[in-house]
Amino acid sequence: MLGIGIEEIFVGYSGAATYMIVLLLMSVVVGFECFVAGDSWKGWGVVFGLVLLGFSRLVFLSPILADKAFLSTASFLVGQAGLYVLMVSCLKLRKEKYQSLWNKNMVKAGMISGMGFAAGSVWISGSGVSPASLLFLIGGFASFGFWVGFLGELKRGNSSNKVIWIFGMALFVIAGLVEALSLAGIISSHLLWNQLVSLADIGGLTFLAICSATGGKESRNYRERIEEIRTEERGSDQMCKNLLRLGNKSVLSRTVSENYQEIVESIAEELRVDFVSLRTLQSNGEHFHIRNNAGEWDEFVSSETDISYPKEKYTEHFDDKYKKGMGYKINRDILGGDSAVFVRQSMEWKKDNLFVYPIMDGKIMVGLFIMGFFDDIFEINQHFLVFSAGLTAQLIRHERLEDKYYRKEVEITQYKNELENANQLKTNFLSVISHELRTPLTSIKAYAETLTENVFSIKRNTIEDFLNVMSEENDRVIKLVDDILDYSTMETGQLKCTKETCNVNNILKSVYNDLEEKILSAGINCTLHLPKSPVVMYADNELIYQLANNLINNAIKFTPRKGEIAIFLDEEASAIRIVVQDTGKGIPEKQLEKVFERFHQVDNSNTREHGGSGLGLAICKDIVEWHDGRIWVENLKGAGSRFVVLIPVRNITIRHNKTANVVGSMRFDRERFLSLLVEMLAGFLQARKASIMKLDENENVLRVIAAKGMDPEFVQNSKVKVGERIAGRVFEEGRGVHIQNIEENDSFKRSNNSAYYGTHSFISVPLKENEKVIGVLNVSDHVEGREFTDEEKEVLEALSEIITALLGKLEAYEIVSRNFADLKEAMRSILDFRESVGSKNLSLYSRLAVQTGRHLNMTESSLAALYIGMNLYDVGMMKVPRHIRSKRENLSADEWEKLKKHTDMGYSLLSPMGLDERIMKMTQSHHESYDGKGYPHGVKSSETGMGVRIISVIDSFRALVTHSPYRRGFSLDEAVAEISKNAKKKFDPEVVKTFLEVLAELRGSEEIQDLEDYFYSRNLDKENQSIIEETEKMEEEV
Amino acid sequence: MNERKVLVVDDEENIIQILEFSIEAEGYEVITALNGEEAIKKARKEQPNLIILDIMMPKVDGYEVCRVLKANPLTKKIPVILLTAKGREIDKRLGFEVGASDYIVKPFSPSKLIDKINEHLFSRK
Repeated sequence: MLGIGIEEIFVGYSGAATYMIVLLLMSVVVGFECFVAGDSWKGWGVVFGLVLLGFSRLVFLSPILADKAFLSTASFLVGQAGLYVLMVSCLKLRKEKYQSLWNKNMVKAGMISGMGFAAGSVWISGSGVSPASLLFLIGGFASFGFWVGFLGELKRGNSSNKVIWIFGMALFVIAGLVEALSLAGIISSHLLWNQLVSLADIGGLTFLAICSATGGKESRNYRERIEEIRTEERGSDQMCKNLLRLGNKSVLSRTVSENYQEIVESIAEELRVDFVSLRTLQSNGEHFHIRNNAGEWDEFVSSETDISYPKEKYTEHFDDKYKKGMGYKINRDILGGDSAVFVRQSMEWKKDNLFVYPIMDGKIMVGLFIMGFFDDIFEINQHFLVFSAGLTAQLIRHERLEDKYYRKEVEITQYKNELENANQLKTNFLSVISHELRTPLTSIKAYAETLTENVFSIKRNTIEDFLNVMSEENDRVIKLVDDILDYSTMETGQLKCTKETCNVNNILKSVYNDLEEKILSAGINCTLHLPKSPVVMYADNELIYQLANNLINNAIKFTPRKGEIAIFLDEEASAIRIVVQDTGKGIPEKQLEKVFERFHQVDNSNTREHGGSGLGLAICKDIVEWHDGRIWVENLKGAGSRFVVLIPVRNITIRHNKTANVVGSMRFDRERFLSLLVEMLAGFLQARKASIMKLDENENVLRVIAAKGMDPEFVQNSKVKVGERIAGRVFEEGRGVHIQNIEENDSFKRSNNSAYYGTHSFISVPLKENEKVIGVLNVSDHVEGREFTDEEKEVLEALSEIITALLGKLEAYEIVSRNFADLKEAMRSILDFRESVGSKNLSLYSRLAVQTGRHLNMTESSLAALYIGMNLYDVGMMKVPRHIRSKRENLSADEWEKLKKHTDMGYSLLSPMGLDERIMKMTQSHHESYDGKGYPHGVKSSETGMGVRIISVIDSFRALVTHSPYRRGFSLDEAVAEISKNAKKKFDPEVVKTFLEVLAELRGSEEIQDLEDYFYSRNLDKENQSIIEETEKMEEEV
Repeated sequence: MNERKVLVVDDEENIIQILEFSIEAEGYEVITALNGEEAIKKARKEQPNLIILDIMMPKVDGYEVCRVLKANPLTKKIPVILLTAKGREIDKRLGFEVGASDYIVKPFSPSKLIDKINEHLFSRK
């Protein structure tokens, strides 16, 4: 139709190709834009329209269809259809995304142009006359008008693009015009016209393409905006996911710690921070401790979870910001030296890039999230934090309640058991007393009545006989009443215990002499083994007499005729030991622990072997405990039992509190309390001398209130002015001192105080109550004769907190006149534990623990806690029957249950002392294992803190290498092998690795050598050895 | 009446002594046992006419002794008087359940015990 002949050279193939390229370019550009905008079907519409248009033009312009009117018309129609699709797609697209630019009239115009084109082409195919060309013309103009208007509008606000578009469209208009004119026959079909039309068409399309490609600012902005919206959408999706992750029902199935971990991890992910750390308030309400970390912090988790910092550290820098419950930025300048409280010291965090978000429970800050970046980014979306903090606050509250509930439960169980015991004892008591009183009273009544009735007929020597019986039976009643009275005075704490220097050799001799007749009449052979040099101790003469008397009487009662009793007295380094053994039939294993209970002797059945009140041994136990010693009984191989009494040789002086308004037993209680305290102090530091000083506010002087290893006279009159001498200065400055060699230290004149400073190495630390100094602790003279280390000063400082708390409790208890038996019990158990492990061994184990902790990068304060923990973590064991705890293996299910209780028992035993959480954890959780199969709670040990995990390794090590009557201890190599075997199962492999390294380092050193010697050479300790030999000899003789 | 034999069982020698004295004064023959086992043996061997039995004794208690005696045809018919410090109603009932003929609570009056002994020995006749 158009351009027949020569024109095919210009508008034929080459023209078609140019046309195609331009259209493809356009389709790519427009299509790309559409795809980016996410409207793929409309994009395809545009592309499809363009391709269709191009294809039709190609066919239309190419010479193939020359003179084939129908086909060329058809291809033209296809082209128009493509245009129509293109337009609709564009309009659709524009309508949605560019609605503000859309003009309804343009749609109409576009519609009309499409219709016009279509109608025109139909007409042309039929006739080729002018009405058709007129319609075509109208359609073409309308269409171009639409394009111009639409695109002009589209590009509004961008003049340069507008110009290009207008120019491009103008070319279209011209091309359309020329085409229409030539179709209408107004201008002749001429090569030049055709070339002009094609060039104008191509030019127009090119300009359109350029415009599309350059896109214009606005469209780019839109793209960015879309991108932004999409990111936000994705973000919200992610946040929803993260929220679900926190809030779904698995909250309940996870442990609190797992929930915390989930929270910090999702915060790290959601807020894209480099590290997150969660701190929560400890139940004491004073400290925040590190709970869970995520992000870059992860690798340090293991060594840092048991660190805690005082509350003020987190609040003081921020006024009351936190009270509003909103997050705030902090920087290093504000924090100054406290930055380590927030961020691990070695961490390279940007100066201003720390964000703290408080976790509030009402008005109390119960925890906080610390978040930060290593780089400059700082955008925190607080919405997520609001939710996380709320959830965490709930969890913290839950945890608290659970903890409280757990403590209460332990307490209640204990009370319940005590109550049941008391009830049982009451029943026993009544039954024993009724029987024990009735028996002699029955005799007396029967004899008296018989005498009265037969007073004249009865023979004289029968009368005598009868009267003797009556007198004997009367004595029995008196003895029983005495026992009961003794016991009840002891029980109510009214016993007078006057400590003085006593010669135990003499006491035993006099008991022996007093009982000799009874022994002889029972046909028993009794031997007394006393050391050559008299054993002297500070104790109550009468009570020790009664103790020995009861023990020997007991032995007599249970030893058959021709049996043997042997009494031994020994002096150890720090204790005296009295042993009474017999060749009776021994005590059933289950009863071993019970014989010291009140009225134990009667098992409430109708068979009774032996008379007696059942109070004798209970009284013994009390006497021993009043002297802070221990008593136990063990069965001998073959037959017989052995009672062992250990009483520490104490040189403790308690200052008489003349002013305090405490009387009678209360005062005595106080003195015992203080002596336990000073004993604990000296024991922990392995010091020969130790003292606790408090400020006498009336005179502004420091006075020793309790001391060990010091001249009693000096203690009673001690007076150190504030600011003078070491203690005075420590008090004034509120800072501890550690002096390696006091003689070389000029700042301390030790002239007039030799009693006090009889030492080279000396540590003195203040006792602080709420930052106010109230006294001073001093230790000196290490038992090994060595100097104290700085590490030990840390320990003493940690200990000073505990001692301050305990002194506070003592005062509080005194005010309300309450019995502080629970505190004394706790301290006595601590000393028992020391005694049972041996203080030298314990010090070695503690060193191993601390050394291991140090290698694992624990902080100084955690190490001090670990040291203290090592010295008391297993106190609960002291409440487990001896035969069970020394066996430890091959236990029956029942025994095993009892043994497993020791961690909880330790926990409740120590609770009244108000110790640091970390230490309490060590007591309670050292049998939790790495795989979560330990006890009491079966949690993974990774949740218990580094200190606890170290202790559990060392505890096992100790158990392995220690000999017991039931098992030979392992050699070091065997123990190491056993421990390594259990890494990952029972123990934290990292701790095991480090511990073994530390052990390997120490091996060959003198201490380990000592330990090894101890392991190998002493199957039983020497004292026991001699006793056993004696026993065997005795058995042979028997 | 001299052939009448009374077995006295008690782990308290003083009680045995005074019972022996009182019962012998009544003209009965007295045999004694210090524990349950001995009591059963002697009851079988000596065939006493009456047994005075304590309850709380080592090894075998009085109830058990009584049960064993009552279960054995040889000793079944011997009347048993329980003499015990256990004075509760339940103890008494238990005593009669195992076959005791009487129950006397310590401390007791020897003359009243003698009356009881006489009563049992005569009523049997």
